[in-house]
Amino acid sequence: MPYLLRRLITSLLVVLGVITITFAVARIVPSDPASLYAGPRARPAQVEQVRADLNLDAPITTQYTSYLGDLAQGDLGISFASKRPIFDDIVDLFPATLELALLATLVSMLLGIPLGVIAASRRNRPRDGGLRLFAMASVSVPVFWAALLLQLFLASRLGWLPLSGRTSPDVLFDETTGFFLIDSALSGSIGNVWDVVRHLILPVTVMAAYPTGLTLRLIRGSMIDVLNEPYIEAARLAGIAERTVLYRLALKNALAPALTILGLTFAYSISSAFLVEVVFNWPGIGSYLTNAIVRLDFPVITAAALVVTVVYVMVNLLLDLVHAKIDPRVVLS
Amino acid sequence: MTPILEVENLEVTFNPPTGEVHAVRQVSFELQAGEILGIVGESGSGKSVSMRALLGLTPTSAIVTGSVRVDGAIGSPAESADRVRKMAALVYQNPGAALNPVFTIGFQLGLAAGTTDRAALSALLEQVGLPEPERALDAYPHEYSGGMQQRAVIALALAQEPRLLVADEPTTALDVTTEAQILDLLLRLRDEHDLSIAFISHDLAVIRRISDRVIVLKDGEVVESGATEDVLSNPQEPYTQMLVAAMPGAASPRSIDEEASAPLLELSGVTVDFRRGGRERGTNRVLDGLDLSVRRGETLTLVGESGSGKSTLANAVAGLVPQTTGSITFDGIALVDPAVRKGRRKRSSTRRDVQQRLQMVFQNPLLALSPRKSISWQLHEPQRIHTARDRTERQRCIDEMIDRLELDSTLLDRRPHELSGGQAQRVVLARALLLDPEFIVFDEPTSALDVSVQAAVLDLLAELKRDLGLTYLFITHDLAVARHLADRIAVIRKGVIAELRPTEELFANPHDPYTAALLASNAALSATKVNSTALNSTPSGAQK
Repeated sequence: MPYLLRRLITSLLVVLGVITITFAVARIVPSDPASLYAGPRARPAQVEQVRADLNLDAPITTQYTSYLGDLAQGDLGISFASKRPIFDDIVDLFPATLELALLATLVSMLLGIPLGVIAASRRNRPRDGGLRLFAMASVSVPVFWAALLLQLFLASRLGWLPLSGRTSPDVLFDETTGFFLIDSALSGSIGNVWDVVRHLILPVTVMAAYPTGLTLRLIRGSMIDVLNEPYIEAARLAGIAERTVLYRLALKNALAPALTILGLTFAYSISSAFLVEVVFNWPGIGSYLTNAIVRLDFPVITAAALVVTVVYVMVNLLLDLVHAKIDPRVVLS
Repeated sequence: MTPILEVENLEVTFNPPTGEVHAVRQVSFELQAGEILGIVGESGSGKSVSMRALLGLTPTSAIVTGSVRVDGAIGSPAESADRVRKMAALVYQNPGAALNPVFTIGFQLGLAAGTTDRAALSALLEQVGLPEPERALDAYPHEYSGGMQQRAVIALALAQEPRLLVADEPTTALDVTTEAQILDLLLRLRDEHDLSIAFISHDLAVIRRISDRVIVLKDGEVVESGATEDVLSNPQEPYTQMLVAAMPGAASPRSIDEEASAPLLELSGVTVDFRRGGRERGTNRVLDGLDLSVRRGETLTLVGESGSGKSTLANAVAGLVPQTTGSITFDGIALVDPAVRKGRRKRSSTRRDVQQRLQMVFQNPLLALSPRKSISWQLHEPQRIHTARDRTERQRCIDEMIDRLELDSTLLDRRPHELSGGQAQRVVLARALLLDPEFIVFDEPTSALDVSVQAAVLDLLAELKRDLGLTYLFITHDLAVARHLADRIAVIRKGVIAELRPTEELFANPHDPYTAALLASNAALSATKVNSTALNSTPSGAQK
């Protein structure tokens, strides 16, 4: 069986497992979905009506199979709170989260990788010490605390950056893709783009902190190993420029072991977005899920868990493919 | 003729917290254009360090002094390092590690040569005899065997248009046939390019073949130097004489030890009775008053048919047979003492002391390793029990050992079932050797392995014995194996030694009729096997 097909099948099994667990958890929690759906002021008869309508009086196995059938058709269910199809909500909100997560990952790689190389090449010298301290701090600082501090100083006190939201209220453009950087650029106005960028800076900074520190430390560690290899010594002896030695010959070797973790930081960003979105009032999946948790909106909770799972699984698969691309010794089988 | 490199009074001192180490002292030599200088010595003699110091490759904490003249320009080693680096290229011991695994050979060659012209690059590969050079440019290092990788490394060195090639044990990691090819290649390149070569090796046979002059290093000092033939055929210094004597094929070390050595292990009147259960109660006498002594430094091979008591003897020596009576003495320490009441084992503390010095390697490695523990754990455990090494020290010993036994360090995280038979037997061997034993009992260690692996393991055993000064008691039913390895052969029959004589004597003229019969029955079978083991043809050894 081809490698990719095999991996897709196992990925599907993982997703199925998560679906089953979330489904089971939603039923174990002592709450009545029918009365939640009907609302706090519903009469018992109305609750029973809802129970029948939503098929909640059917045996649990029947509910499970019909749930799976709905999922297979892309139907994630209906939100108790908004009564809207969850799939539509997620399609609307996911780009906002994705934009944050992608930018945070990008920033963390653009910063973490070169800084890691610099730290490794200056091992145990002052610059390395400073970078390690920076890495330690950015990994350790709690996301919500950093977010609040940045809001307090850069937004409230100094007024340099907006406090929250994706755009200023007076900035309007078509939401074609849901990625505001692209949408604002499509609107053709530099002012719009600048407004979007200003809104992105704080949440992206906060989200990128942890992955940046992690990347720096991972790259530093694997670079130190690689720089001790005879082939690096041989390259230096051959008079190849140190820049080429570090950033081409050594870095490609150092990337492979770090790659797995680096990719997972992207998936991590998706979940850390939940906290960041609440603090920055960012209309993404995170805010959506937080509201759902507060209201015990189970269909939304399970659907969000499912989305995060799918992202994790896909990122992992992608990573393995990239790994094979970087290291010719890796055979996918 | 002016030498291209003159080194005077080179000293290298390391300054670790544990105290100064003088790695190289007062080393002087010169190298002419087109000359091959052999630099000989055992590991730790400073041969690599001195060349690396000249190239400026010693750690910055090392203190390097002396004077170096390159092309007439004289300076301290630090000042001259750049000049030496410009003129020299380095060929490494392990070609796999000297090539960047994630770039094509062509790319690496292009960087070193400073050109991307494919024709020029493939000409370089052609020069070192890499087949299909065009294709090799686009290949990655791991697609090639060790010998081919070493050719690529030499091509990389040539790409820098060096006048001096520093070859640091370039053939040690290769098998014998490939070694010969690489040596021929280096000789040819010397002639074609008027290349000087500093050839570092511990192998005198290799040095004799390739070098014009030789310097012999011991503890960082030059003890002898001169034309290779003079030094090797008429060594003046005792150290050089010792090295030459240890050379395989030269004056046989066997004859030296034979008479002089004291017995390391002595068995006298050893008797083992096993109780028979079931209907016919009674006892089986497996060993019947057996006498045997193994001299320090020899390989004594015990041959016999199945049921003759070979394995019981091995187990009795290792202390695994509590019923043993008689006397077994190891280096003067009584393991089984006739004075002690029958059936009583020696105090366990004595046993433990001896256990470390006396190790055993079993027939089936997969049964001798715990299936549930990682290899790493199983190599740590005996050290933890028997030695005072801390964790990092143990790990260092393990790394050294697996390197020595040509195992891959990735094996450490695996479990025994993930290893091949040959690998598993090497792990068992590593486990025994990690305790620095003096004496190893082998119970048919190769009979579970296939023939090519068997030959590789036997060669490894011979090499280890030579290098570490071990004594072997080697048990086998295969006379070809016995002949390949043994200094003396003991034939065991019905629990007693039927005949015990030096190997070739025994094969030429067996005294005991039982031995003669054994030889005759083996002769037909082993004709092919003798070849495969004795000729050391190990196709599997070439690939890594």
